[in-house]
Amino acid sequence: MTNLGKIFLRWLGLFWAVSVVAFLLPRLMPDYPVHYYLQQYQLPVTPENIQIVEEQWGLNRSLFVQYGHWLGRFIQGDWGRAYMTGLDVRTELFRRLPYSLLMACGGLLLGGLWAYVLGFLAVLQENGFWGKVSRVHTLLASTFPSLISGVLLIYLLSNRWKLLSFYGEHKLPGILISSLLIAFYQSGHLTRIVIRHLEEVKAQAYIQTMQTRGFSLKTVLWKYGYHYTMYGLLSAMLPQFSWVIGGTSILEYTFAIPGISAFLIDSISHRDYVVIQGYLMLTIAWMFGMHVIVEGLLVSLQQEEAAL
Amino acid sequence: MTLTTKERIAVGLSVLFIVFLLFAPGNSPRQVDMLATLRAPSAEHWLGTDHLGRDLLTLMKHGCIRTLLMLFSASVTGLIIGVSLGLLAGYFDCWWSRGLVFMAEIVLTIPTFILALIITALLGLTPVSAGFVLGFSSSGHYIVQISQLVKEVKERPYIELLHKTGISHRRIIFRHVWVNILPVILTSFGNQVSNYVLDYAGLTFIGLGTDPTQADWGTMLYQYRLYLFDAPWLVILPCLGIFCIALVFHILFDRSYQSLA
Repeated sequence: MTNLGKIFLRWLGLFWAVSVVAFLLPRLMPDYPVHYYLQQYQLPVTPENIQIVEEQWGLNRSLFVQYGHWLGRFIQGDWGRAYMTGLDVRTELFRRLPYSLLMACGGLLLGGLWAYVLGFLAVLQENGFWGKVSRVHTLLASTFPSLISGVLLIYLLSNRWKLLSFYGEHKLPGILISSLLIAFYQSGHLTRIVIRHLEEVKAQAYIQTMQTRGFSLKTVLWKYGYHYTMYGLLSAMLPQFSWVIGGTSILEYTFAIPGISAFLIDSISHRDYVVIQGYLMLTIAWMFGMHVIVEGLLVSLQQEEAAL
Repeated sequence: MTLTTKERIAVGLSVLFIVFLLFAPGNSPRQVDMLATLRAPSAEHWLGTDHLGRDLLTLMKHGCIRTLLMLFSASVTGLIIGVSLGLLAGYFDCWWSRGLVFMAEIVLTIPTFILALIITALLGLTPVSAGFVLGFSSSGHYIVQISQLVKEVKERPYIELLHKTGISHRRIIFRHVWVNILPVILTSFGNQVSNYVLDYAGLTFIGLGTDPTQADWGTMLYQYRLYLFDAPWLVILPCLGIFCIALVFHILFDRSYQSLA
């Protein structure tokens, strides 16, 4: 079997396995969504009422039948309706997705760019100013909670200085600040990767030879260290795409951004099985998409490096 | 491992602060006093009181104990599940070991924080349950990383020679393979610990399934965020607690940070 075939089969297996986890996990929760639903509409929680709602939602059937029914419809594009709001889950998730994607992708790309620049500057001068900045940055990003940075920025920018409004109709300020925060926290870890890779390039004999011939370290590292460092940076960014989807949930919550994670948090508190299932499936689709894009970029970088 | 003077001072002060919190006097974190709300630090309340008149030192002490309990639970779960399964999956190359790695990849695909959010809503958010979930999520990393490493170690000529001399698998794993992978395990552990602390603070900040009367630092931050300027110590203290614990583990265990230094 070709490599492509193996990768396809592996991802197909992952999709199926996550669909089982996504289906079973919410059903293990101690509270029952039917009870929440009846309480929300101030209806008595009687066996008759429970039976009516269960029939309406299909929860009276066996788990096996429920799973087959949900997966079959999911593949056809019908992700079901949220129990509490009655909203179409696919439409609602896709309506909210741009907010989360803008925060996550914007933050991660900005973080990657900042990590490269900071790492590059830090390597140019041993124990220099940028090296110290990168160390303090890495330390803060690994030890200072993002939720506090978020709260602090809200108070400073919104309450104290009245520069931005985060809880109004426009969500752009919140998305922008969240992206910057994600960039800050992501670049802390990524800067270390960049520095480690550039240091390895710097130690190569041919780099030192070029320097003795009068080429500046900046020029040599920029030209010959780029592919190797970018390869390491992109490989390190790949698992971060999973973190970013989860990581946005705290910032969506803090800045009241109507992203997919905020929708999930609401739905977990109401035990809305359909939304949780849809969200988890969307997450694996997101990871699949990111793997395809990043793997493609890595192959292209390898080819470019070989051509040098 | 050599630390600079500044790092030694930072670690020393952080450890001192944590020890002070652990051994500080305190009563019940639920004891409210509406006649003594938002008091500044005094002889009676060393760190002041919150908006419900609760003694902040008591709350900080309980928050510290709960965070350390979570760390213990997460570390034990992650290491036991991750290391043992990673060793087995790497050493025995067969259908079930490949299945184990596949399951680890499933765990890696689902974002840790989301998995923790869902499962702690299921189990109830306590330090032990949160630690279990965070440790379980990190076990995916251990399994994938350790199984790869064990496969490499297994192919070394002296391990093959040990096989031929009839030494049992158990002896080879625990006497020879284990020694080679231990430094990598410790580095991974160091990388994980500060993440556990920050993730737990995030979980208690969002507060799904949590008991809001319990003194978790994340819960305190959520409750006190409105007093950031009127009573800043309410926010600064839990922040300092999270920062100190994360800092100690980050500087002492995270090898990638040390290599940067």
